Amino acid sequence: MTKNANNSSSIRIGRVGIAELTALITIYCSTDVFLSYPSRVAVEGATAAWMIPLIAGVITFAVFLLLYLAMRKTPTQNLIELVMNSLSPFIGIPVAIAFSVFFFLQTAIVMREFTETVVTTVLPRTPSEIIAASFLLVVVYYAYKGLEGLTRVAVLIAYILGVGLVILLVLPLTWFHLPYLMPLAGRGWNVTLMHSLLNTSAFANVLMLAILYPAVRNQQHFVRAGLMSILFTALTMSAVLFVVLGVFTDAVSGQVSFPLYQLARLIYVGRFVQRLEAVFVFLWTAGAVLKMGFGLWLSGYLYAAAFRMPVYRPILFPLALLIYVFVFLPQNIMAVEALESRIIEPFAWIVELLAPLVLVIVSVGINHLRGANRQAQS
Amino acid sequence: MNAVAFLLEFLVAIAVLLYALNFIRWLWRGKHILSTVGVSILTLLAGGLSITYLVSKLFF
Repeated sequence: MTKNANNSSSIRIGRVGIAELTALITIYCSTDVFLSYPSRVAVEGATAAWMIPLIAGVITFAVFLLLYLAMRKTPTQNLIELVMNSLSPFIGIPVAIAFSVFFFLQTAIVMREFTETVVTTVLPRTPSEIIAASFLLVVVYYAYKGLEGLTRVAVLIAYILGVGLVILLVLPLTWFHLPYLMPLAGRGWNVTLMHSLLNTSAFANVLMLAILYPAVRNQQHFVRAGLMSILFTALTMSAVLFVVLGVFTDAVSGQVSFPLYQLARLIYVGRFVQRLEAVFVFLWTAGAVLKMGFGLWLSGYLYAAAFRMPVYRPILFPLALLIYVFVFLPQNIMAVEALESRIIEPFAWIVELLAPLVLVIVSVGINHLRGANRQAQS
Repeated sequence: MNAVAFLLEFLVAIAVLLYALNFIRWLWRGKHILSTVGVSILTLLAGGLSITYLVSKLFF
């Protein structure tokens, strides 16, 4: 593709490499494992819960391939520009605002979850407002640095996160019992497959890649970044669920709010290697801040693209203020988790997978018809 | 402590809103009409909701 990939965009977002983009998207999607995601999936899939992210990953990759096949003829335009140019701004503007609101709400929900988790696990006496405000300061700074800054930080953190996560998953294996993962099919293959379909909501990869398409150097990089980010996300989620189920059983995992944190507390390798939740908190905060920073950046960028703004950075501040208000709208963490399990998880795949795919196919189809009409007239 | 926290939150909200108003003025002067509308909506939402949230926190 493309010497002038960014020229059609009014907002310059820069260029990113495969490793950087893969790291950022993987961290964004897989940070949920530190929160209540393993607990929710353990309830849904029982002993087969560890398969759910793998099957969901395969479905997501199939959708990503379809999206790539449709988008490869317009390498200079991202999803929003494609819809604006092919359909009309009357459709493009609401679509961009809807995606912006989606990432905004996701960021607010994740911030509330992380804030409450910090309060309940490590800083019980600190007011939630101070923790949220501290998060928000770093998040705004990350988002202000833009896509290139975010991706570079992501690739630096990814190695530390990867090694830390492997340590956290390997050291509690002394408590692991393989029979806890039987029966293999959990509640039955049909139930597992249905929950896998719904759990594609955990994979925002397709939507993010469709938005960041012109930022990638060429089409091979785009496919590789898509494949690797989906693969790493699915493997991370599956590995965490595998160990959590093997250590706690599916019934107990479903009752624990933050299973990975409990897993870290179990670690005891002699007198000097124990209580590794301090390492866990470091990893978890590093990943969370990056996720929220990218969420705020995406929200700001999409909002700016919807209203054809020449720059997006100044609107990050009012967006951050709005996030601060939305963070405290739900009464408690139970309300947030109910929101996650009743609204986000069953329906987010419509925004993350279905909407981008349908919009791209319709836009490219209309472009193709227009081209054919022009040829016929000439 | 609560009064200090409230005052800080209030001042930060006002500072952000003033910054957003300045950005709106810059967009208006550059004749970016659609952008001006977009940022105005966002500023109204952020201003309205944050002040309502802070005031409600003060009284309830």
